[in-house]
Amino acid sequence: MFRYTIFRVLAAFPTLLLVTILVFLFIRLVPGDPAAVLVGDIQNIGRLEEIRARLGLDRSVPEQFVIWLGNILQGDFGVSILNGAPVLDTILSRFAVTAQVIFVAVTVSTLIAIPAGMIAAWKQNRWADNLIVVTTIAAMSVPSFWIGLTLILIFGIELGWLPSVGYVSPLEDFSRGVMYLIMPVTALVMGEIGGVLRMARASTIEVMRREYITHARSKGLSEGVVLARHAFPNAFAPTLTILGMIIGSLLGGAAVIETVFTLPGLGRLTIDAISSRDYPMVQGILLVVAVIYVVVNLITDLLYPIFDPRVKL
Amino acid sequence: MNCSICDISDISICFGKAGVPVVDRANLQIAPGEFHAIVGESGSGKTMLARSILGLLPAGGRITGGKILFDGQDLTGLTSAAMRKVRGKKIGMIFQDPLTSLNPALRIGTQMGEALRLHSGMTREEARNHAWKLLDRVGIPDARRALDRYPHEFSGGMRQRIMIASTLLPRPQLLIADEPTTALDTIVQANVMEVLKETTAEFGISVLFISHDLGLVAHRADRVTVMDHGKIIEQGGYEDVLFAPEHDKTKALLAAIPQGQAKPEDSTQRDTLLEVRDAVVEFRGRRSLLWRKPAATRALDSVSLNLKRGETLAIIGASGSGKTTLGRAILGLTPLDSGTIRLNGVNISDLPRAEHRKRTRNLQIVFQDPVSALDPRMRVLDLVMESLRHNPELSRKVKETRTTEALRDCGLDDDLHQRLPHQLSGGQRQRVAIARALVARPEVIVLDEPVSALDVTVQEQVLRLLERLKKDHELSYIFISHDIGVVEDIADRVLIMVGGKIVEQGSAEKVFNTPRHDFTRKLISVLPELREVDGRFQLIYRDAGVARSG
Amino acid sequence: MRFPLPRFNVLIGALLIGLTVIAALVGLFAPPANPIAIDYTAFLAPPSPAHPFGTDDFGRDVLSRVLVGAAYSLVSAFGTVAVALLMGGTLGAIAGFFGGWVDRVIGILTDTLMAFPGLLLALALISIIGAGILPMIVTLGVSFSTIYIRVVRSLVLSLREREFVEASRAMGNSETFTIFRHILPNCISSIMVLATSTLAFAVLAESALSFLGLGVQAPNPSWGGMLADGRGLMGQAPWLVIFPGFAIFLALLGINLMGDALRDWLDPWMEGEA
Repeated sequence: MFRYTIFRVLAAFPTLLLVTILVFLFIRLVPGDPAAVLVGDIQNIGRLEEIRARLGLDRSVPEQFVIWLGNILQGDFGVSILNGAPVLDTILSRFAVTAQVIFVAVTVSTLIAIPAGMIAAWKQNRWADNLIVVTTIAAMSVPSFWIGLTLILIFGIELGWLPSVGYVSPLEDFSRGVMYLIMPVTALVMGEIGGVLRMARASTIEVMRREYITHARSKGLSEGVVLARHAFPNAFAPTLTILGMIIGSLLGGAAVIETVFTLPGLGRLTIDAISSRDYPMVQGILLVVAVIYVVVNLITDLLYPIFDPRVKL
Repeated sequence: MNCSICDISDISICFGKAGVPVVDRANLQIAPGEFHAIVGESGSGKTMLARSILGLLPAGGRITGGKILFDGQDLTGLTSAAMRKVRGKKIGMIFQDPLTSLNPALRIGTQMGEALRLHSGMTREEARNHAWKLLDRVGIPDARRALDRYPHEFSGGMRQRIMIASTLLPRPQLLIADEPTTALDTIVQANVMEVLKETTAEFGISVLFISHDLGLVAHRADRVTVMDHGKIIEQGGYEDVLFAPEHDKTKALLAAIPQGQAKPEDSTQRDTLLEVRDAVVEFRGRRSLLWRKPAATRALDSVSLNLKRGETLAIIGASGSGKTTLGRAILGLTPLDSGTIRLNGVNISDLPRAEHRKRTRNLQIVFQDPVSALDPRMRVLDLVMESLRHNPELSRKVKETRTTEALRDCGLDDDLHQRLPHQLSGGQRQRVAIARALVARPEVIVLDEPVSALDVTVQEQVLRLLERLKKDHELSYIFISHDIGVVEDIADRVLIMVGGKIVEQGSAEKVFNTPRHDFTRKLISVLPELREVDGRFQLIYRDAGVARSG
Repeated sequence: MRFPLPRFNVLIGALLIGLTVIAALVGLFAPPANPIAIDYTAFLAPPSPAHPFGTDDFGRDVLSRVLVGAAYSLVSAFGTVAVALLMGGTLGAIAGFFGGWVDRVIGILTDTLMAFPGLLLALALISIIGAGILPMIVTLGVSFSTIYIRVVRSLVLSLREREFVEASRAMGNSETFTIFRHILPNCISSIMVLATSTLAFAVLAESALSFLGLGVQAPNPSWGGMLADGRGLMGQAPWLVIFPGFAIFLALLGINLMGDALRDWLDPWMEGEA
C-alpha cells in the first residue's frame, strides 16, 4: 500500500513537468513577440524591457523555461494585463467560488446516482430500471446551461423565489450564500448525473453477473447485504474513475454555468481573459487547472485500492 | 426413498417463454453422507439442475414442474426469505472458477465468517476462530493470517480450498459442487478432490458433484447420474454405470478415459525434421524503478529437442511451465533470446520475415481455444484459404479447391463454407482450425492444447481425426498439453517440462511406465486408467495399484 | 414485467435524428425566411403563423435560425468526431499494436493532453487561433481524440492477445495486413458505439462554445449562440430560449437513444463478459 502510494505520486511528476512545458510553450504559440504578448501594450517600451529582463527573454528557450519555472515555483505567475493584479491571487480567489459549486454538485450527483444506478442494475429490465434509464438518457440530453436558463426563468423571474444572478459567499452569510448556490448546483447536478448513473448501472450489471455474487447468495445472504457488501465495492471502483473525469470536465466547463448565473468563478475569468487577450492570466489558469486535475486524478488513483485491492502499479 | 435427504422428482427447467426445456423431468435422490456425481457434457443441463435446488438459476430460467424435497419441505415453493434460511446453512455450494467465485474486494475472513455469523449468530471473534481452524484443516498454510488476506493473493488451488472451507463452515447437510476442479492443473485437481472427499466424509455431509469428466468422479462417487440434453439417461451405483453402461453416451464418456496403451520405443531410424538447440526465452517484467533493471523470468531455459519425421512428440507441463512459449518460439511468434531452431537442417530462428515465411510454410500451428483462434468476422472458407495467401503461384480457383479438400478431409461439409465461427459447434471450430493448418500442406504441425477446450467425447473425435490426418499426409506433430492422459494413446515420445526446463523425456512407454522425475510420477499417479480385465472394466491407478474394481 | 424498451428507443432515436437532419437540410436549402435578414418591423414578435417560433430582437425569424442552427450543429459535431476519430484512432491503434516505446510516447502525450480537462484545452487553443467554426472543430477534435486513443489502444491490446491475431502472424502475414484484416474490423463496432456517444458530447460542446461566443460567429445562427443572445430578454421573450433549447434537447436525445441501442446491439465485449 505504501509502495503503491509512493509510486503513484512519483508517476505524476513526469506528467506535471510536461504540462508545465506545454503551458510555457503556449505563450510562444501566440503570434508576436512574447514580451509584447505578456505586456499587451507594445507602446509601453519601459514595461517591455523590464519583462524581457525579468523573464530572460534574450536567453535561449530552455533557459527561459528554467527562469519561468523558478518564478512559478515561488508563486510568481506574473500580472494581469487587464488590471495589473497578480495572476495567482486572482485565480485562487476565483477558484474558491468554482470549487464550492463543483464540490457540492459532485457530492449531490454521487449520492443520488450511485444508489439509483445500483437499483436499476438490480432490477435490470424491470419497470424501475426502464424508468431510471429513460430519465438518465433524458438528463444526458439537456445541456446544463439550458437547465440553468430555464431555472432562472421559472424560479428567478416568474416565481421570484431565488436570486437569479450573482454570488454571496456562504462563508460570510450562510443562508444567503446557499440561496445563490441552489440553482447553479441544481443545473450542474442535472447535467452531470446521467453520466455517473449510467456508469454505476453498467458496472453493477457487470458485477452482478459474476460468480461471487451467486456465491454470496448461495450463503443465504439477503439481497440488501449482497448489494451493499458484495456488489458495491466492486461496482464503485470504475465509477470512481468517472467521478474524477467529471470533476475535470466541470473544472473545464465551469465557464458556461458561471456565465449563466454570473458567478465570479474561474470559468468566467477564463472567458474574460480569452476575450481580452489577457495571456498571462490564460497561461496561469491553464497551469493551475491542469495541476488541480492531475492532483484529483492522483487522489482517485490512491483511493482505488480501497475498493479493488487487486490493483498494482 | 425415505432415507434420502434430498429428493428431486420430475424437475423441468425452461428458459424464456416456452422452448425446449434445459432440464426435462429429472429424478434424483441423495442419501445422507452420499457422494453423488452428475456427469454430462456442456449443455446437458447438469449445472441448471444443481442450481435449481438452491433457486439460483440465471436470469430468465425457471422451474416449470416437479418438486425438490429437502428435509421435509419442497424447496420449489419456498418464499425467498425461507429459501435464504436453507442457503448456506443447510445446503452449501462451490463454484467452478475459483478466480471469479470469491469476492476480490473482501478479505478471506470476512467472506468466510459471513454465512456462519448470519446463520448461527456467532460473534466476529468466534467465527474467525472456527474459520481459521477449518482453513488449516483443508491445507491452507498459515491459516490464521490467511483470514486477513485478499483472494488474489492465493493460487487457484488454494482459493478452491478456501471455498470448500468457507462452504463447510456452517456445517450444511448437503454440498453442491459445480465442476470445482475443472479450472485447475491435473495434480492440484487431484489434491483438491481429496480434500473435498475427506472433509465431507469427516463431517458426514452429502455431496452432489457435477463434472464433465467421468474418469475424475466415477470411482470417488457412491452413485453416478449421467445427463445428456436435459435428460437423465443413466443412473445407478458407481459400479453399474462404470462397468455395465447401457447408454451410448455413457460409453462414449467412458471411452475418453485412457486405456493405458502407451506406444513402445520405436527402433526405426528416422531423419530429424525439426531441431531446437539451447533455446532461451526471457520475459522482462516492468521496471519497478527507473534505475533498477527489470527482473527477467526465464520462460524457456536451455531447451533442446528433436522431432523426427512421422513422429508425435508430446510436451507436457503444468500452467506456467513454458510449454506454450516453446510452441510459439518454434513458430517464430516469440523471438528467442539465444539458441537455434533448425527446420530440415536450416536455421530459421533469425531469418528476415519474408525468408522465414518461405522457409516455414511446412510448419503450421493449431491453437487451444477455437473460439479465440478464428477471426469472428470471417467465414469458414476465407478463414482456411487465408493460409494460402502467400502462395502467389496458385490461382484463386486452385486455392478454393485445395481449401475445400482440406475442409472435407477434416470432416466438414461444403455447406459450412459460408458460416461464421459462432455458427459452428466447438468441435467444428477446431476442425476449421486444423484445416487451416492442413491446407498449407505442412510437414510439422504444432498442436497447442488442441482438445482441452472441448467436451470429452468431441476430444476423442478430434484426436482420431488428428491420427488419421497424420497417416494420410505423413505429418509430424508437436502436441502440447497439460493433461498427460490425453496424449497417452497417440504420443511416440513424451517430454516433460517444469519451470521452463525439460526434466524428463523418452518413449511414451518409458515415461508412462517408469517415470523418473517427481513431477512426472505425481502426474501419472493421479491419472486413472480404464482397463479391461477378464471381460470387466477396472479403474486403475498406476502407482497406487488397483483403486477399486467391479 | 418486461417492456420492449430497446426497440421503442431505437424508433424514437432514429425519428429524432432524422428530424434534425431534415431540419438542417431545410434550413440550408429552403428556409422559411432569411435567417440573418434584419427586420425591425417584426421586433421580438411572439410566435404567430407568420413566425411560428417568433422573432428575436433584430426581428429575425427564430424558426429559420433554429433550422440553420441544426446544420451548423451537425456539421461541427460530425466534423469534431471525424477529427477525433482520425487522430485518436490512428494513434491508439499504433500505440496498441506496436507497444514498447511508441506506446509509451503516445501514452505520455495523451496523459498530458488529458491534464487539460474538458473544454479548457479547446478554450486555450481558440485563444491562440481565434474563434470560429473551423477552429472549433479542430480544437474540439484534438481534445476529444484522447478518449479515442485510450479506447482504441486498449481494444487493439486485447485483440492482439487473441489467438486469431497470433494465427495471422503464424501464417507469415505482415503487421500492416494483420492490423487491417483482423484487428480493425473487430474494433469497428466498439468504435461506432464510442463515436455515437462522442457525437452527443460534440453537440453539447459546440452549443457551449457558441453560447460563450467562441464557436459559430454572429450573425450566423447557432443554438448555443441563440440561447446566449436570448438570455437577457427571456423574461419578456421566453421563446428566444425555449425553441433553441428544445432543438438541442431533441437532437441530443435522438443521438443518446441511438447510442444506447447501438451499445446493446453492437458491443460484443459487453455480451462476451457474461
